[in-house]
Amino acid sequence: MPTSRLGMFSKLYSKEMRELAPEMITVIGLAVLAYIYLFFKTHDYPFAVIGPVFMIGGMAAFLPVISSFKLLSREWKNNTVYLMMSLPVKGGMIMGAKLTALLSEYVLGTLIAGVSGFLLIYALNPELGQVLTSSIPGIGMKLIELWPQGLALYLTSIVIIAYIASISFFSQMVGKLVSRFSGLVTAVVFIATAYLSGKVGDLFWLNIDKQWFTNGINTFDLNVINQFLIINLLFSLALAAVIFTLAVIIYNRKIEL
Amino acid sequence: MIEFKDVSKRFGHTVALDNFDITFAKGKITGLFGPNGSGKSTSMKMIAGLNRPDKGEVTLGGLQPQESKISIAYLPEIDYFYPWMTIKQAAGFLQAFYADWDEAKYKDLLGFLRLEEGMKIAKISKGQRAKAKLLLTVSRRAPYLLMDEPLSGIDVLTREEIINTLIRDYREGEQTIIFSTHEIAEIESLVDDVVFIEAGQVKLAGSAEDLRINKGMSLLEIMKEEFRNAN
Amino acid sequence: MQFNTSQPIYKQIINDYKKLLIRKELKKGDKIMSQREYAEMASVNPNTVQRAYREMENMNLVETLRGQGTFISVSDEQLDEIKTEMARDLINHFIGEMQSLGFGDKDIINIVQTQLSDREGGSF
Repeated sequence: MPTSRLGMFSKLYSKEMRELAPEMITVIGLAVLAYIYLFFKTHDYPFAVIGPVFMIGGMAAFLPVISSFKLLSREWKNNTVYLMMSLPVKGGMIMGAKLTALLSEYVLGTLIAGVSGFLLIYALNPELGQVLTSSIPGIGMKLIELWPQGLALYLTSIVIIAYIASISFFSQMVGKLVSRFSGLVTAVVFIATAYLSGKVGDLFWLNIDKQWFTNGINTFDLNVINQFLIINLLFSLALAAVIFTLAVIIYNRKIEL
Repeated sequence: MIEFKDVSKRFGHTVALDNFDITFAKGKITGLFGPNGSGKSTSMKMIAGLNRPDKGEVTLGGLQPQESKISIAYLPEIDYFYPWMTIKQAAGFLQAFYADWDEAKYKDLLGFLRLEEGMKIAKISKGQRAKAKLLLTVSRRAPYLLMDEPLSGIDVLTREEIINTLIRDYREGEQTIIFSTHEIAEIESLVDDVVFIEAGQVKLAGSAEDLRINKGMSLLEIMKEEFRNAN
Repeated sequence: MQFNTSQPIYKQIINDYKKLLIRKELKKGDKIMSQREYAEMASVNPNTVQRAYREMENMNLVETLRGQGTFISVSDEQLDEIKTEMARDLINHFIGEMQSLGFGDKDIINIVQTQLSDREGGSF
């Protein structure tokens, strides 16, 4: 049977998705149950539904960060790392499949929790629908017309998850290089990498013309806002890619059993 | 042909391989014998590319282990399959990576070993798991077959099945097979060559039949003698 | 099949065939198992079986016809030779063991005669 890189990747990806299934089912199930409960119980204070919806959405958004630790460490715990490392593929594909699965977990979780939460809020508070379609004072646009910017923010949030997951992979790889206190090393490297890459971000933004940006925000210049969103997205993407590559290099060159 | 050229490897303070220098001949079944901790597993993992020499070099037909993964079928001593997979899922997983997967052979061996595709790896007995590992390893037509203690913790009848499977399946001249075990008596008639390893060094190596002719002893007796002299 | 693992296995395979020939369980022209079948039957490394078969071909005990298989090709004179040779090996082994137990030549002949006559009801 002929094999292909795509076939290999999709096998790895579906394996990772299967590993993530318990968490995804838990979050989605929890969201659905909570929403059903809220739908029937919050007639007196329909606004009270907003808090829980944001909480569940936040949980769905945060879950992939926890999963990123589980997905790698479990390979060592179950000895499946022996299979993983003997496969004729390099770390880029192995960790690429894991990262893609984590991002799928994020997108599925946030979309399901988010969309159904939004529908629930709307069902209980139909008058809130007007907020979307009425003109925002001082800007002269409707909220719903800002959907491209909303989408850009959502994409940025996906990249940020990729960035955090990459830090998680990188710190775990470094942790595997020491025979003792592996967990502690991982934790320290995780915090240090997050801190240092945050500093790099600060440096980057310091070099951007602040006046240009502040003026743009104050006058609500959509051009400036769009440029800002794109720069932010690309910068986060580059940062995530660098850290991910470091993790892959350690996997390819240094990890031993 | 698999070559170790003066390979040394340490893990912390433990010396796993110490100027290990040996050639595993192409087309032969070589038994790698030695006590626990003698370096058997480390050398197998090194061929499979799961660790690297500190000093020296390992090559497979001239290539580095990292470049040879596609031609290696490696059976580690531990259980290394995802526990939630069924035998069928595990087979499907491997098929995606190895073009040398032989579906006909897989189906044939499945019946011979009395395994079923629906069996879940986490839920089968130790003996069945050992057979499943063997099935998934030898269902490939891989030029290099590395088996680390495939008989350990397995009952006598299953051991016989495993050995018979290997013989049934062996293609003369094509496959280079390394088989590590401390159950020498079980595989006396299976191996062409033997390598006795102790403390990461080659203690004795040669053709099994030549050793029997020269020493008038079985491999088990030879090993006992070798390691008795060592202590 | 069980082998004596302190002796080369390929020689034991050859001896096994020699015995079958002497007992006339195999005769000239008979087809014998392929190397692969023999290896599977006896749970022995196929390369070892190959070595035994090759040796038997060199001794003209068998011949391999392309695409047809391996056949017994032993001649009558050769069979006699093998028979004598095997008998000699057995006797030599026996004598060696007896000598190691301290039996002299006469004692050995006597004990052999006694045992044979006991077995065959006194007629020697």
